[in-house]
Amino acid sequence: MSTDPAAAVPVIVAADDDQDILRLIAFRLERSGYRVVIAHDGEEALNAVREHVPALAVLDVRMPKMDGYEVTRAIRADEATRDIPVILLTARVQDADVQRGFEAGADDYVRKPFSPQELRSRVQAILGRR
Amino acid sequence: METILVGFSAMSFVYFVLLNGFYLALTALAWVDLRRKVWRRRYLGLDDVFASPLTPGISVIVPAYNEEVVIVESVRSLLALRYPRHEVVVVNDGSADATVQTLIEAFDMVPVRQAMREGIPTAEIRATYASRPHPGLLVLDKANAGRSDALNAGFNAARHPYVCMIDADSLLEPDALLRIAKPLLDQPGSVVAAGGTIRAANGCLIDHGQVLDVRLPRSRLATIQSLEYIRAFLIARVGWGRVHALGLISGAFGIFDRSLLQTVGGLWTDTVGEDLELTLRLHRYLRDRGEPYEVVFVDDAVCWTEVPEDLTTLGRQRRRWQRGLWEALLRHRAMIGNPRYGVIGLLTMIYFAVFEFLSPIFALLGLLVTLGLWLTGGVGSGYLASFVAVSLLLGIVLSTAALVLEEVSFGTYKRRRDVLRLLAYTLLENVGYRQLHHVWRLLGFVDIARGKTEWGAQKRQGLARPVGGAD
Amino acid sequence: MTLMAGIIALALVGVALVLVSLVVRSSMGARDKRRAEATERLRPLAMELVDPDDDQGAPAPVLAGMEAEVFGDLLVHYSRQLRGEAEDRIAAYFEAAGEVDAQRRRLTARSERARVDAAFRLGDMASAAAVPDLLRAMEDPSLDVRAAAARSLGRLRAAETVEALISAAVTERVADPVVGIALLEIGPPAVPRLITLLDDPDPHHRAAAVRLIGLLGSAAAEADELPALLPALLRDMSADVRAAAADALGRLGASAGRDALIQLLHDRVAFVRAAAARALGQIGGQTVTEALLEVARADEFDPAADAAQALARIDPALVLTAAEAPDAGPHLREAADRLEL
Repeated sequence: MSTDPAAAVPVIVAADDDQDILRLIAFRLERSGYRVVIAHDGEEALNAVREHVPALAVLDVRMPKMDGYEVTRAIRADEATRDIPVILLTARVQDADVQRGFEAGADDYVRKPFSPQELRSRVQAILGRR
Repeated sequence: METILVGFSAMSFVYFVLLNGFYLALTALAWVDLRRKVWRRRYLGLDDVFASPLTPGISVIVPAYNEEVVIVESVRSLLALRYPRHEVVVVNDGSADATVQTLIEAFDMVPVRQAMREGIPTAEIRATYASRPHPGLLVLDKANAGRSDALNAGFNAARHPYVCMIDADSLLEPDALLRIAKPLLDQPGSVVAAGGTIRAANGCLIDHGQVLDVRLPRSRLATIQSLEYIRAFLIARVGWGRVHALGLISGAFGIFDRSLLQTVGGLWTDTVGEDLELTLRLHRYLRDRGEPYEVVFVDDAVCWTEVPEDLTTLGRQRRRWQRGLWEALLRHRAMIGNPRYGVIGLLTMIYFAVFEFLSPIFALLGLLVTLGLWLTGGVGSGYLASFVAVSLLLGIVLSTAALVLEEVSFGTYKRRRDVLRLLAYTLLENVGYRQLHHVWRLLGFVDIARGKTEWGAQKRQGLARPVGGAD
Repeated sequence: MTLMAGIIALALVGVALVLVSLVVRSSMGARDKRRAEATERLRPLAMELVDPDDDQGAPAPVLAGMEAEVFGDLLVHYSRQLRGEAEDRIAAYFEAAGEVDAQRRRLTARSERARVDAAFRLGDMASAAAVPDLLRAMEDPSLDVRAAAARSLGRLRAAETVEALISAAVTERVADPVVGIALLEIGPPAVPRLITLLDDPDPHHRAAAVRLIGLLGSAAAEADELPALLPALLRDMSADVRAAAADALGRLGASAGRDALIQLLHDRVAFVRAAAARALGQIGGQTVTEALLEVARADEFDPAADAAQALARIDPALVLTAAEAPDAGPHLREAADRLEL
């Protein structure tokens, strides 16, 4: 970690159309020392990713306007954002959906219902790896 | 001569008493049913249905004719519907515009040699496309042969056990599919078809294929139709559904058991009343075989659709409905009043024949004859007043009752001014619009007599018919 | 004239009722607005309770009236989406606030609506204390109460209620899919009880049990025994059971069933053949390709489509070459094209 505080705080984009859950994710990650930019739908999420070029994006799979897979693919398709790790939140039980997430280019997934602690440790695992 | 006219007037008096009395009964049934259902909506457990791998798959079939402007938004919002297992099958019905090209570009689609069931014969399919990023999207490019033929092709291509019929320009609420599928889980194995509520989208604030804010349209004609649809769906359909006598699943939003559709041969392409004809055919087929089944109406599964705002288009739509009704009744005339078909034969079919199809004769001519008799002194003022009371005023009573039911069970229109406007329009709907509607129905007779057929482009307008007791 | 007056009176009643409902709606609207404000205000407190900074956890806020309701709704919402410690904290809050006991008492209320509401809510309060009461509610005369109780037992992951849930489905007191959802929520601990149901006399229940075992089995402690148990069901009298058993073997990836599944590709019922093809696609192995190829080429639509897809998973190269043969049939061609996606 650098000593310059502005550079030291990694930005995370979090997107979910469920306001309560989105706030909780942001709350948890902010406490863990990240700056969180929130988005309420797929389009907002993609714009936020393009604008902030975050260290990580946490995306719900099912969102209005663009779903999590589409946003992930768009992130991967863009030179400027293609290396940003993506964690998908999936409400699905089917393995095919997880598979689809990885095909779209996600780095990891967390199944809803989820444990906030688990989400945090996945985030730290990915950010620590880099 | 005058005796005959007086007799006719009396007949139409009786007709109105029966019709509106019946309608009052439907209102009461709808009231009872909605009172049971409204509070239960909180306990549907839709989250659980959404998360369950046991929820049956649904193929949403979207017939598209010259829809290049709306199709991408529409498909995007259909793909985003909250449902665990659904695919979207767009069937291009030989559009003259770039409907297919637009889809190919927007969804990164490539040609695939899609295997199709041969169950229902259709016009030639020129090409099929699958999307790279969206495994649940399929586009069929088919020679133009009308909406029903396009839907039939979609049924042949569908992979899931249930199919959902909609229009390219209708908007499903995000939970609509989940809600309409709920009866499949609650009564497993018995539900063969389910219909949802259709509302007029004119005037609403719409973004990305979703209704964000419900507003009444400015257009007078569209406002009247908003009221008409409330009455037709929340009273008639709910009431009919309550007594297991639902005779129509609207083609603008309904789900069907796919293999059953395949068995009965899909939609009949030679009629303009294809949704009504299909629903009746399903009833007939299953009752002939004595199989237990349910056709249900789901009041909280909502589809928004644009209704015509000018008289010409609306008139043409209603004439077509009248002709469609005739074609369906003619084909299934053996069911009318036939106890073999239970409540469908004894109640629904008789209602369709007498109170829908023949309605212009009694309702319009009866009113005119009575007015004429009064002017020439053939009947007294007291009789005229009673006639007006049972024909027009009782209609207003029914419309206000529908509005009360809407307010109590849904409260869709949030603005006070909108509700007051709807209330004022109950007058306009019953005095003026209703009679105009009957003129259109009467002109529908002319079309029928001429054996008029209009194919292709004309065929797919105005599918969200609120038939089922608007008259 | 009395008729006229009567109908006018009715119309006026209608108008009055619309106006009344409008007033009621707008007061409800105002209430909703206050609730929405309260939700915004209380959300930080709820988040603090659900996911506190340290292990101690924040002291639960003491709330009353509408605020307590809103706070409860927030926690209920969180309980549906969250797992782990968060759930324990939510349960502790509702227990301490007396909500769990209050709802348990409401399970025996006279009003059906109150009983449904209580049975439903208890599932989202995450408190195991409610399990015995919910079990009793499974005997309620109202179908809706029973369904809500079944759902809640699933949400509480009460493994000890698996028998009761299954028997509710067997006796048709609760719809099969509703019980299915609950059992899936309970998860692998339900498997031993499901195994005992495999020789139930009713084919519906055998089929439901196999299906659920397929969905849950791979994570269950009994995972090793299952591949030996299931192949016998591939010869069941009921086509439903045979198909469900094939699906289950496929999900478990149990190669023990491979030969029996190849046999099943010749079943007389098309959807059984289709299930066998899907299962073989998941189990894989070079010995199955010949049989699958035959089905993909020549069988009816569903089995052929599933066989072609299965082949595409096992041996994509084979599908690509087979698709170009003149007798390939539409399904192999489709599968080949879809491989390119």
